[in-house]
Amino acid sequence: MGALFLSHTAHAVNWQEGMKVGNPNIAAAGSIAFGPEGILFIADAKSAAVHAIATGDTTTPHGQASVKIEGINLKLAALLGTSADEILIQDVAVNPASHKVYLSVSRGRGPKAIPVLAKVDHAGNISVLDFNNVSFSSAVLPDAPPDAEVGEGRRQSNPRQESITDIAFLEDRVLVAGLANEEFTSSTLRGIPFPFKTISAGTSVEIYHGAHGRFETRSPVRTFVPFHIGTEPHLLAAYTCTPLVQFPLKSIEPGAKIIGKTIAELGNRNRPLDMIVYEKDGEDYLLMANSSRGIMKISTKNIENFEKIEERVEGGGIKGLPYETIENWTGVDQLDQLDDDHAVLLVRAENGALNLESRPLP
Amino acid sequence: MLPDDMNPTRSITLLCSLVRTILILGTIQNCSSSLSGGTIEWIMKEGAAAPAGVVASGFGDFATSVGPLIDTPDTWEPKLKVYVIQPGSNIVEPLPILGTYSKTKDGVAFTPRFPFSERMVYRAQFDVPPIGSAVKQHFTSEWKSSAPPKSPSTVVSQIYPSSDRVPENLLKFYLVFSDSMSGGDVYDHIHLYDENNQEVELPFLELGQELWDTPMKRLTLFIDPGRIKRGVKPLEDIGPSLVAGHAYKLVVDAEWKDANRLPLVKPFQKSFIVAEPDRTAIDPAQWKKQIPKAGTSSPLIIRFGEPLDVALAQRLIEVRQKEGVPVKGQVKLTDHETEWSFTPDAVWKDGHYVIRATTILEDLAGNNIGKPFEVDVFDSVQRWITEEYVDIPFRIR
Repeated sequence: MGALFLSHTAHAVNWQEGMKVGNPNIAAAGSIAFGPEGILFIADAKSAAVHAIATGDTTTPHGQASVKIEGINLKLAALLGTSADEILIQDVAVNPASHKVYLSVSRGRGPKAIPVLAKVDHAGNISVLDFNNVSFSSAVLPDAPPDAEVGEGRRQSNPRQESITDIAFLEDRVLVAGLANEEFTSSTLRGIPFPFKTISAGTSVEIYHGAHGRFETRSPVRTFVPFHIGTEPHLLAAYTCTPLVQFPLKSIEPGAKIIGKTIAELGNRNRPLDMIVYEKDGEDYLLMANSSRGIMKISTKNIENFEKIEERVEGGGIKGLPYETIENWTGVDQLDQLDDDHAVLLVRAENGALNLESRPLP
Repeated sequence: MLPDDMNPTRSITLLCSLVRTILILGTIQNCSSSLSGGTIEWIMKEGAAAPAGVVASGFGDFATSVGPLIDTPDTWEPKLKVYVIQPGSNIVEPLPILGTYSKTKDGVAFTPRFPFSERMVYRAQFDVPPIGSAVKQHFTSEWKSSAPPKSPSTVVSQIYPSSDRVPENLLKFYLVFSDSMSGGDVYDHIHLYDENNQEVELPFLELGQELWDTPMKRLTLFIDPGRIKRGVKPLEDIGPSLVAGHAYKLVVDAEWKDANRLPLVKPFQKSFIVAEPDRTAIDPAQWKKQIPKAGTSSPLIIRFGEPLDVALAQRLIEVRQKEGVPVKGQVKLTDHETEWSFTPDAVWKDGHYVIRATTILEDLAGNNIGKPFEVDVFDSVQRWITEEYVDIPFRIR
């Protein structure tokens, strides 16, 4: 989800520093995002970790990238030897180094589900990554909330888990948005420096929403996307309570408390599923897949000077940045940017099949 | 021919998908007699519910007759393919299952990359390429579990909060199941109905990454915070998911499948009444303590005066000796999560202790210790607690 990376520090960085060859032992593959040089980040909520895998997939083939696979869930089920309803596609991300599409898949729906990463090449062939003997490094999520110490057995059976709602790579950090299955209070956004270091585990910040400058609440992030305002790296984030906010990357500092600047208020039934930012004709746009309407295309032209919303929002629809709805893009579960001119979408067709297809960016 | 741990207990007669005359061998082959004695075997390991792999063998005569058709794994590999048949259909995607091949004495073995499941039907196909004037042959064998179908056995064993009275700004439910469940579509199976039996539209926070515990026996179901938080658009447009003074029922469909892909034994329903919203921070100074005597292992009891979040009250309240050493014991929440009791593993000793409560503890509306769920920033009178925990001292005599 929202897995763009925009730019990297100019000096040479050995992005594979600290990686070793072996099996990262991924317990669950959720959101995925690409970093530089074909490095894939995998959110593993079950292990409370993020894994980085050097895919080695770094060559862009000639010709225009185009993808169309109908019933990709059926095809994955065939390859993985199971039924189509045992295939859950968790996320879709494009490797910007090769324009190939990667899918994070769960083979099975129960506690013994097996994480799978599938790759779709430009000929439409699906292959499955072998996790044995890959170059990888892993980082455990920083600042896991505390446990009381009342009994030896309790800790083992602690049912607390954190769900990772989205990850992205920006500049030199992996950003991880999470939501605990117990305390709402510990919903955080974490920044983990990459290449992963053993000493610095990264920082987590408390994310707040200030409704109309008055009511302040902890606000888990559902999905987010890196975005530059001028030269300053920012994040655009959709809160679970629906406001769309922005904040600068540099605010993700140890102990920080961030109140996102609200730039749009989405109404009910608006569940942002995924977002990308792209450039067209010299202007930047935000494209947001949404549970209730077609894709929303939002011009970010005036985002820099946009006054945050502090007034009460009356009536239906959304308030804030101007947007248009791309009505014929319906049923979009996932999206990412395939190349300069195309997006790749995971679309739920009316017959229930899941199709992976590319379309020109609107 | 087979590894020692593989025991072929299920050998299925070869079926010809096409009955043809193999002129080149000068004999007529049919479905019931294998081609030159060739077989396709599904390898069952002791106690396993599904095969570990497939072996095609005994096609050697054929190879001998027509030359080195089957000499290396490379030339064997494309000849043996295994497919999965989607339940309820005969549709087979023309993509074979991923796996590895190895050459056996007179055949080829296939091991799937991901284990076969006893719930599926698999088809192995051995292809003999056209030779001379003969037509390409497909020999197939299907595997299907012969075990009797299992009956549903999983139920919803508990829903928290267990009380039949919740605040309007209730933040979450926990659904507890008797066994591991399947995820991925949980929100399709959970419904909230008002007292007129009308379904409440989108009352819950629906997340792509569902909030399960590791064994997938407990699901956390947040109420959509957009319909709790004051000043956000969903609440202002259509109001809260739960309205004070009204009755509701939470219904869990029986169609929701457990981890064995079996439905629940029966649907589950919890009826409750909604009370006024609770916007007050948890105040441990109001907790009533029942302190046991030294030399006993009677429980230490705290009565909160309100229900607290069941998971957090179990996890985030502990007992320490004054010097900070944690006291080991067992915690129980009773009386609809309004009462916390702690039974020590060893008898209480005379001395000073503290009850330590982490301030991120929540009540049913997500209010913390010393800090409500929504902080009114215009209210400068109140001072919110920012410490990580509060200690409540007590003495055992």
